[in-house]
Formats: sequence, C-alpha cells, structure tokens
Amino acid sequence: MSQRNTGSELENARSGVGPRFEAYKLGSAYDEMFSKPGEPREHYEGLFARLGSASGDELEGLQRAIEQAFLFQGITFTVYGHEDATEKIIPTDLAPRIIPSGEWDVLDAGLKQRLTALNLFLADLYGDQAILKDGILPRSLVLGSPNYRREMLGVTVPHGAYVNICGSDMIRREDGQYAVLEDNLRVPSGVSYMLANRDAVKRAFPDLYRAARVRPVETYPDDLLATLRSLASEYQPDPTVVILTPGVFNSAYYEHAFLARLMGTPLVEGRDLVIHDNVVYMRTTSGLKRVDVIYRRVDDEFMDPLAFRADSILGVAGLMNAYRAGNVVIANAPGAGVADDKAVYAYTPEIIRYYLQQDPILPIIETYLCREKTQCSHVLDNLDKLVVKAVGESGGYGMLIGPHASKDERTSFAEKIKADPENYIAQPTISLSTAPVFVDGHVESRHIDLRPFILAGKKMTLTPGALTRVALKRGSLVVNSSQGGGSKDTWVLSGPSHASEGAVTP
Amino acid sequence: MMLSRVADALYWIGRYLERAEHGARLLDITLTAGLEGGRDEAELIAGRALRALGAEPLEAGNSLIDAARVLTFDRADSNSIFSSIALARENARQVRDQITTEMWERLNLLFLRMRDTVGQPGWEGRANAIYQSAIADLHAFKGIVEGTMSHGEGYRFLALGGAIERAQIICKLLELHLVETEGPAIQEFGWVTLLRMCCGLEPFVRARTADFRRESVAEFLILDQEFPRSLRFCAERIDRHLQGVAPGAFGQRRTAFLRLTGKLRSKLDYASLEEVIGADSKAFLASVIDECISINSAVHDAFVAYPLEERLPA
Repeated sequence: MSQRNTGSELENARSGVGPRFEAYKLGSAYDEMFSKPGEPREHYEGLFARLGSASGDELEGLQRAIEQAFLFQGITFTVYGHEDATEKIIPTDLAPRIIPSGEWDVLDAGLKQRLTALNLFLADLYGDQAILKDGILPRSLVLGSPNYRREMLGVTVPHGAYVNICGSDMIRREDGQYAVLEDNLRVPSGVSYMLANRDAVKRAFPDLYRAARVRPVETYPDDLLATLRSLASEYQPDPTVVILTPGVFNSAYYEHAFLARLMGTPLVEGRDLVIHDNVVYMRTTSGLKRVDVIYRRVDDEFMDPLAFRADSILGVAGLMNAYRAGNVVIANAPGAGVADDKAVYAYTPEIIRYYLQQDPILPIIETYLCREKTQCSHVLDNLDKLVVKAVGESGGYGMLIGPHASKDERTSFAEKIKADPENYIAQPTISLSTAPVFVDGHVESRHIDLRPFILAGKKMTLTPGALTRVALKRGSLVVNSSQGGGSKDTWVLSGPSHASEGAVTP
Repeated sequence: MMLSRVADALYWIGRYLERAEHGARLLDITLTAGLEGGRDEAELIAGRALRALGAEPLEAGNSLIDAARVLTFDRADSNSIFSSIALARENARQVRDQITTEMWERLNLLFLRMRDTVGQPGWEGRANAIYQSAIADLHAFKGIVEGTMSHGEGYRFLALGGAIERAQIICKLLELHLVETEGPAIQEFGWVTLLRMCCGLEPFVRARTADFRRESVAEFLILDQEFPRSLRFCAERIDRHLQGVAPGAFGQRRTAFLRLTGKLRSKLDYASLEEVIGADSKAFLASVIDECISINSAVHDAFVAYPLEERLPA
C-alpha cells in the first residue's frame, strides 16, 4: 500500500464503505484504536485503513495461514487431562497492538524503576531487613509468606539482581493510564509468543510493518543470553549456560525449547544434572560437564527435593547447596517470589520511595488489605463493587468478583475474609482497554492486557515489544490462555531517537 | 559433546523412523502382491511380511487389510507405523532445540498427515497411496537431515539408530527367506518381492541383471558393498558412525563397543557366499542380529547410562 492511496482508503473506511467495523463496540473502557466512533488515533490510522479496505476473505485467509503455520511449527501449549488432543495452538490475532514511542518511554522508565526497587527490596529481605526494622512493611506479611525462602538468607547474588527475567502484567485504565497489575518475578512465560507473533504479522502485513517503523524484538534471545552470561563469575570467561525445563509435559515446553534453540544453550531436565562436591554437572556423551548458570523454568518448590518439596522429581538433589556454595548461578534467584505476593504489591509504591527516594512512575491498582482493620471493614461493606483475591493463590483461584457474584456467594465469602483477614486483598473492578480483533472476517473490540519483558543482569534491558493477551470472548476480561484467551503482536513505534532501529528490514 | 538424554533420543528417532518406513513398504508391497503374482504366491508373501512385522499369521476369516489396519494405525501396538512415527515425533519434541526447524516441520507434518488418516472411512481404497506418501515423507526427512543438520555427534547418533534398525530388519527378512524350510521353495517372484521389500530391485538389476536366483539375491543383500541396505553396508556405517562419536572419551567402554562393531564389520567384509547361504546360514544371520543387539546395549552403557563413579572428577 503506498502512501498515496492510504488517504482514500481511510476515507472509505470512515464513511462506512468498508463494512469491517460495523460490529465494533466502544464501551466505557479505553479503546486502543478509536478516540471516538469512526475516529482512529493517529498511530492506528494505517492499520485502520488496511483493515477497512481488506475483504473478509482476505482477512480470513491470513488468519488461517497463521494458524496453520503455528500448527506446523509446533507452537502449541499442552492442555492437561486430554488423551490425544494434548497439544493446542494458542489463538493469535493478526491485528497488531500499537504503542507510540512516547507512551513506551514512560513504560520503559517506570518498569526499570520498579524492578530496580524490587531487586533492592529482595536484597534487603535476605540481608539486613532494614525495611522491616523501619516499619514500612509488617514483618509477618513478608516473613510469613510461603514464598519467603530462609535458605536465601545471607546469600549474595551477582549484581544484586534476584530477578533476572521479569514479565510484569500491565493494564490500561479507563483514563488511558498504564498501571501495573502484577509483577511476575518467578518464571514468567510468553516471550516465545511475542517472537512468533511478530514473525507471523510481519509476513501478513509487510507494507504496514515497514511503514510503521516498528522497533525490533528479535534480539531478545541474544539479550537473554548476554544477561545470563553476565551472571557468571568474572573468572569464568566462557560460562556454560543451560535452561532447566520440567520436561516435555510442561505447558510452556515449547518456549523452553524455543529459547534453547535460539540461544544455542543445552535444554536440560533435572535427570540430566548431577551434583558432586557442591558442583553441578550435566551428563553428556563425553562424561560430566560443569554447569555455571541455570536459567530455570522450574518453580522454587520443585527445584531441589533436599531443600524444598521432597516428592519433586523435576529438580536436582543438592542444587540449593551448590548454589549457596557459589558454584552455580540460578536465574531467577530462589525466593524472588516473595516480592510479587499480592499483599506486598500494595506496598510497592512505598518500596520504591524507600529505596530510590523517587515517586513511582507507574501507578498500581488501588488495593485494600484485609489485614488492616479499617480497610477490611471497607471491603466487607463494598463486596458488591470489589474483586477480592486470596494472597497465596494465583490463576483466578480463591477469587470473588463482587459485581458478578450472587448475594449468597458474597455472604459466604465475607465469612472467609473475617476468619482469615490476612489472606485477602481487594481491588476495584477494573476494565481492561479494548483493541480490534478479527472475528469471522470482520473486526470487533476485545479486552487486552500487556506483558513486557525486562532483563536484569549487569545491565537492565526492556525489550521494545510485549505479549499482548486478548480475551477472545466478547465482553470477557479473562486473558489467560487456559481460559479462552489469545494473543497478538505488539508494535512499539520508533521515536526520533530510534532512527537506526526503525530502518531494520523485516 | 552433547547431553546423554539428547543422544539417546536422536538414536531412537533414527530407529523409529527406519521401522516406520520398513512397515509402510512391506504393507504397500504385500497389498499389491496379489495383483502381480498368483494367488498362492501372494498368500505366502503376506505370511512372510506379517511375520517380518512381528504379527500373527492370518487366520481364516481375517482379511489382510484388517491386519494392515492394525499394523498401520494401532496405537496400542508400539510397532505400528503410526506408533513409530508418533514416538519419533515425541522424541524429536524432547530434543526440539537440537534438531533443525526443517527436520521438525517435516516430521511434524508426517505425523499430522498420519493422524488425520487414522480411522477415516474408506482408507482401504487409498492404502497404497497412504503408504507411498509416508515413505516419500520419510525419504524427504532423511534428505533434510543430510542437508540441514550439522554432521556432528547428533547426526551420528541419528544415523547410527537408523543403521542398526535397518541391519536388524533386513536380517529378519533374510532369515524368513533363506532359512525357512517349510512350504514350497521360493520362486522368482518371491525373490523379486524380497528385493522390493528391501527397496533393492533396481540397484540389484543394475548390478547383476534380472537374474533372480537365491544365491545372487542373498549375496547382493548381505555382501554388496555399495547397496545402502545390504548388511555389509549397514555394518560399515555402524562402525563408522561410532568411530566418530566422542573421540577420546570413555577409554574402556569405548573399546568395548568398537570391538563389537569392528567384529561385525570384518565378519561381513570377509564372509564367503558359502558361509552366509549354506548350511550355517541360520547361525550366521542369528549372530548378526545378536551382535546388533549387543552394540545397542554397549552404546547405551557407554553414552547414556554410564555409572557416575566412572566419570566424576578425581
């Protein structure tokens, strides 16, 4: 598409010649594409024109092609509990989500500020605990957390970076402001979909992609490898880095193999590793080979049956001791999860102020802690307006969505809160922003969130791109892939300072 | 240097795919044998093919196509073609980072095609087309391996698995044709079919003209130096691939399996025709199969399941 006819296509789409947008509903949520009905935001004009002028058959053809490509490449996730259909592709929507460079700069500064503070927080919790002595956080909230690992006390980590790979979940509020919904500090996943989606969308809309001057995400594996290598001892000029996977039955296995392939690092399972004299080795055809850095995609509890869950067969016996002896680096560090706890989340603005003496750049969602008496009574009085979450649970379990719950459900949940207030937090019901999605050859709006990926080692890098998750059911706010969610490519546009990046050819 | 588990998986991909290809070819040939040879001859061929694939002989009332269905699609039978392909793919998925995208996509495509055929009504009518397309995909896969994968240790384990499986398969076919004494003597059509089962009809005719006699066919399939499915050729490959794996490592265990492969190789290099098809033919073929099995375990012991005590730093 040349610049010249973009204008007329835009006109056609606006005047309703293209029937693509008839079913596109704007609600109270912030819409990524339209500022008001029929008026696309400036950075969406190209996409708007392209979608408006495409025929339904063309869009469906493109969508089918991408699904087929994913199936052939084996970009699948595992559905538990099915005999033969255990592999499914994650639905990918072809319409990219577009973020202008100005907005991204704010996210970049805000996310780096946040991760810097959280790493300082973790170093403090496993060190002097100054923040607890100063009474910024209640001691019991941190030390009583199931994700607090006493084994980490007094252990120093390279560059003070407990969290090396972070994938925070962001949402966009009704006022258009980005806010942090959750910090994923343990084993965040989804980066392979960011790369696979980019690959697919580049092929589907090459002209649009080139004209938009999208910043590249393709260097992520190189950046990840550089980050992991930077964690090895400086006396180790050529460290052996491996990825530790729970194995082929894990739902994110594709991603583990994908990263191993792109980084050229061995993909090991617990049974491939042995520990001798507090040194980690992998079993190779030429004998035992020493391992220096482990990017583990196994949760803390399953990493070492001697230190954590004794029934785990996914880890390696003695790994924690080797780690504490300083003979191997584990990324992310064990015990990092204590800082992404739902109750700690409420304190993150204070944590940022405490360690950095700065105001947080990115807001969080207002959070009520039921452990505080006054906040608890507010929660109990307003159960019909709030979302209540159990602190220790994730993935939508142990949750009450007040506005959608029946009176009985609310009453019985109130009892649970009263019985164990420390275990609950509450937040106002938030509406995720909406973006265009292909549905049967036309375009409709669906709710989305945003998961950018930050790497922290010797230096901190935010990949200019993200995984945008989509709630594919109309009106739904649930973006999880296990519950009917899909994903889409995320385009971060070049600003004036990214002249060279924008010139990258697809 | 590669992970032991990865080497093991690659080795088994090689074996499973060789097995799948063999199964597809045997069934393809068996289903059409009746069209070319006489009826009795076709029955004998079907009987031998089923035994070569480890299946029970046909009982009255059971049709060949029913037996073929089981041998092709039955997931409960780990030797069926679909099982072999699925197992190869499962292994490939576990070492997805070690094989090329081109290899993975071809294998995955083969699996998806086979899966879509399972239980489809009317597959009987297209059975030959299904087998031929599977064989073509498997050939393509091998070509992709040659052209896209580095010919290093991983490649050698993959090729080693294929060569050992092939030697055992061909040996089994030869046993059924050379040693078997029951029933009528095998006629020309039987020897032609044996060559086709080994994918060797055309190379045989080129090398020895259309002279289909027992001695001539046996000599070709056992002792030919150039035909890639002769026992001698397989033995040479087994030895060569193992020589190239982890050179310098594993002193004693290395000697153990290199001794085995060297023996097998020289046995086939220096065997006389009389030895291999004469009165001792049965013992000779049995010893080749036994030695393949020993090599299989020696390789496993040396590279995969070695005791850690041997390899720990002092």
